[in-house]
Amino acid sequence: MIFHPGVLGLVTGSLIVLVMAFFSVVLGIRIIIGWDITKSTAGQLSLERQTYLVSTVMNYVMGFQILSLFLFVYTADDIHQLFVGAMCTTGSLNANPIGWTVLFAKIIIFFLCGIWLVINKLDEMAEDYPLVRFKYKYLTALAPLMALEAYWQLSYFLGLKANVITSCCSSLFSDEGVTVASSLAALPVDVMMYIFYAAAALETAMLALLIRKSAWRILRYISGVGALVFFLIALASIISFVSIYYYETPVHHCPFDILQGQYMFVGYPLYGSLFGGVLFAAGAAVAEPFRKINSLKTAVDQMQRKWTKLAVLLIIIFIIISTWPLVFSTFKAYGQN
Amino acid sequence: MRGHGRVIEYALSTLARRKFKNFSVAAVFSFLIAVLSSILFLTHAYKTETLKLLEDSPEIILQNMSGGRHELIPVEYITTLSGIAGVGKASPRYWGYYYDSLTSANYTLMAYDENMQDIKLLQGRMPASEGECAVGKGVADIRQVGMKDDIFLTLGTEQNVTLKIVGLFSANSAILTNDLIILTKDSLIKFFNMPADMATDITIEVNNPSEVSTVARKIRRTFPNSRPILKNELIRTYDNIFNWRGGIVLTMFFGAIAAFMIFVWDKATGINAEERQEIGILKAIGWETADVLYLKFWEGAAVSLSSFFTGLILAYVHVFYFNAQFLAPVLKGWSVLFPKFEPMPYIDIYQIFVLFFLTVLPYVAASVVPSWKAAISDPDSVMR
Amino acid sequence: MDAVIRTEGVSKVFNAGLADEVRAVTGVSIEIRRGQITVLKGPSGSGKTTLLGLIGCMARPTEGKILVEGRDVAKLPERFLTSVRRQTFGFIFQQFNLIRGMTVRENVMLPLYPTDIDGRQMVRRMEEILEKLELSSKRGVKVGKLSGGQQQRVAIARALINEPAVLLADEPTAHLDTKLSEDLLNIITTLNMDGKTIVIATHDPLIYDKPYIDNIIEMRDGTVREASLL
Repeated sequence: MIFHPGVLGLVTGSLIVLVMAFFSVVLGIRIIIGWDITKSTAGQLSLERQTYLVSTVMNYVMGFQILSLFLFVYTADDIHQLFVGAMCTTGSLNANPIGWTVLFAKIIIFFLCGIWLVINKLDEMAEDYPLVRFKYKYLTALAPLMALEAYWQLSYFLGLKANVITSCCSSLFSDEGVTVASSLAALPVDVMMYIFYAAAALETAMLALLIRKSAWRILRYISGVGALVFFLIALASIISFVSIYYYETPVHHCPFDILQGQYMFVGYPLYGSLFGGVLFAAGAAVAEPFRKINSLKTAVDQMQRKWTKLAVLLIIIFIIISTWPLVFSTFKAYGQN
Repeated sequence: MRGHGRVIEYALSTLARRKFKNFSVAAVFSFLIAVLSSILFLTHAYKTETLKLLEDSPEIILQNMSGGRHELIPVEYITTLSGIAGVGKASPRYWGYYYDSLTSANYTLMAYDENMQDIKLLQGRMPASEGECAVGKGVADIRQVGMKDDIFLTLGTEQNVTLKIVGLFSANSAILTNDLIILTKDSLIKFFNMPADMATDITIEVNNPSEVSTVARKIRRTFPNSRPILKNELIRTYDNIFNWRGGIVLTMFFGAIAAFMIFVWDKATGINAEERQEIGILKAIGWETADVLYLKFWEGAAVSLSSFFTGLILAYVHVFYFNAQFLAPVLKGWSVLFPKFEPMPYIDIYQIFVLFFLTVLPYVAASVVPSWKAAISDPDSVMR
Repeated sequence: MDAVIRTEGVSKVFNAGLADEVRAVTGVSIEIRRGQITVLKGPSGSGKTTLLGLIGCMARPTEGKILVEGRDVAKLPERFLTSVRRQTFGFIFQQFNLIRGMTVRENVMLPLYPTDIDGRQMVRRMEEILEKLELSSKRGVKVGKLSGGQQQRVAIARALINEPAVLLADEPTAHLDTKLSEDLLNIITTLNMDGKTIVIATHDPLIYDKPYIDNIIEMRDGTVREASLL
């Protein structure tokens, strides 16, 4: 199994990320211990310069993380032939249930990395680097999670046995099943649509309001939590109705197939805008408590406005892409349920 | 944002000013990517070709077993098989291997039946009467025969046959037809001296694809000595074999990649005096460390992406226009008469993605620390 | 008269705590006044170049305060120090420090590349400055092909592109003959009359003996020996 080119790519990628992350942690610990912004010693100067290295490395790690998320899904799709009953990514993930853990871990790490970059960005905007210790402690906590993810990924691929009889999206995301996924698929399309559009409208409205009233603290926090809730609702909606409109089949609920060429790779802008929008909305909320730090006040204001705008833009793009086939496809899901 | 655009421009002009140094890195990197891509492209082409052929093959092939070995199967089984629920059409196949001592090659001899009409002929037709045959490209080449020529096969004094070639298979999908000789059923039975009422195996079509394994179980219960081979199993096995072959070669190739990374590291850390001076000037006139890092990032991106695409194009040409001449010997090896395989050109986003992961990302990772080292030089270094 | 830059007890130690520790500048308190030409005078090794670098936000002092337009920059991290430098200072180096493979116009605009300035505005500034320094006809020429005097003028043009309030020059006549040195001083005085504050570190009497020098700060062994405020 391990000799599949895609698996080799993923494992290599994870190794590189791990080396980079732990390298950053070592530098980070040095910074946590030795940092003193009031000194102009050679040691302090060298620490300051190391922060550039960590920033660069973490930017790369984030890039890797995004690519590896897609490559993982893609690879799982490519190896589905090996399993009886598997017809796509879902089947391959079911063949060794830790596959789902890997997928979720990759998504969570994506957001945690994104949040780190948010904090880092703010910190670099203040002359006294007020968050420097905090962000490296955060990083030190994040790295083991990445190691865990890499380990899970490896054991997923090592644990895959060809010929395992597995269930595919048609059964996992079917209306009859009893799993969480299948109950999502079984939700009446119209109910799910109401929830989705209500959540989308609410979240967009909150964010739009926050572009004007940047300092509205409570709303800011609600919009942050709201972004995560919206993320889950959006995923459920993709399974429940967006997918079937793109596939034009009432029973095909797979959230992965839309990444394929036969659907014009529409999954990439779809997930890209969703992940990006949610990250920016959440990032703006994470920035909120740092407003209390004097040297960060203007930076927080400035970045929150920028991120909120980006979040609104991306979420609107996501809504347009999800709604597109509902409006323009001849397929109708109503009356099925 | 405007600033970023200008830094990118500057990065490109810097690369252009140092053509030779950058060209050497790009050339080596392109070559490595070309080799790596060729491996992936070729294995993938083999794989898809084989799988495409298997797709048309019957759901189940039933073999008779005796003492754990493949035996001839009684044709009368078909009557019983047709009675099993879910079984569509069942038909006997007659075929065998023939070792030609003249050319030291193995041929596959197969009796013609109407299912074969799908196989594309380059020219001519399928054999219709005794003494006629259609042959694959490989056979025709190795025996140096063409249309209307005779081909003589012998298994000793009794079993001789002289066949007139009335059809030639086209080169496409040569993987299956290359070593093939198709002759009429009677000629084949006579040549192999097979007992009457026996066939080599039986192909079974199943009406509902999702019931294949149930049907196979029923068949096994009815004929305990038989072995049903499922198409899905075959597909999986082939899939695995090709991935495995490709992976092994890739793994061996990793040594080369690692060596290259050291080379990159060396090139990048060994920034010459002129470059060091230039970065010093940039820092002195007001470029910030992050700007220089950005510059270095774009230099690396330009080199690695252009090498990446050059490598991909080279591999594409190598595999699809020159039939992977330099690589095929490594990956083939299961038949003396290995098909002169001409892969169908294709572009697969997934493979490009994987290749990117295996080449560009390690390159980028290897260049982080050296670029940073260059970028943190003191702004006042040029004043000393 | 107000001070653009004031230092208070500034010291710079290289390789602190090591065997080869060097105290390049010790306890220097000076004032650079707006609109004046100030000369840092002293033999090589007197610390004048290091002091010039500290004033110009090239490096951070080990001790002391440096007030640029009233703001203490001594403790600023490099990222912010650079942005102060970009906004306030233009540098002319002893070696011209031009990038040889590039044209005059590219060299001149280089400091503005990573900034947010509009491209057309950047080009307009460049054209104006080249015009002023009589380099317009050379704008497309690679700097490696220019004479020493022309290269020096390109370096000045580059120092002016960010419209700095203060121009800092480190031994600007070291590689020029008398004629070219005089030309350079003419340019500098013209710029001074346009309102630029100028600081020159030099040990060339051709410069510090000029009557229009407002202020001479004499340095020796890293300390100020004598400051004559005229």
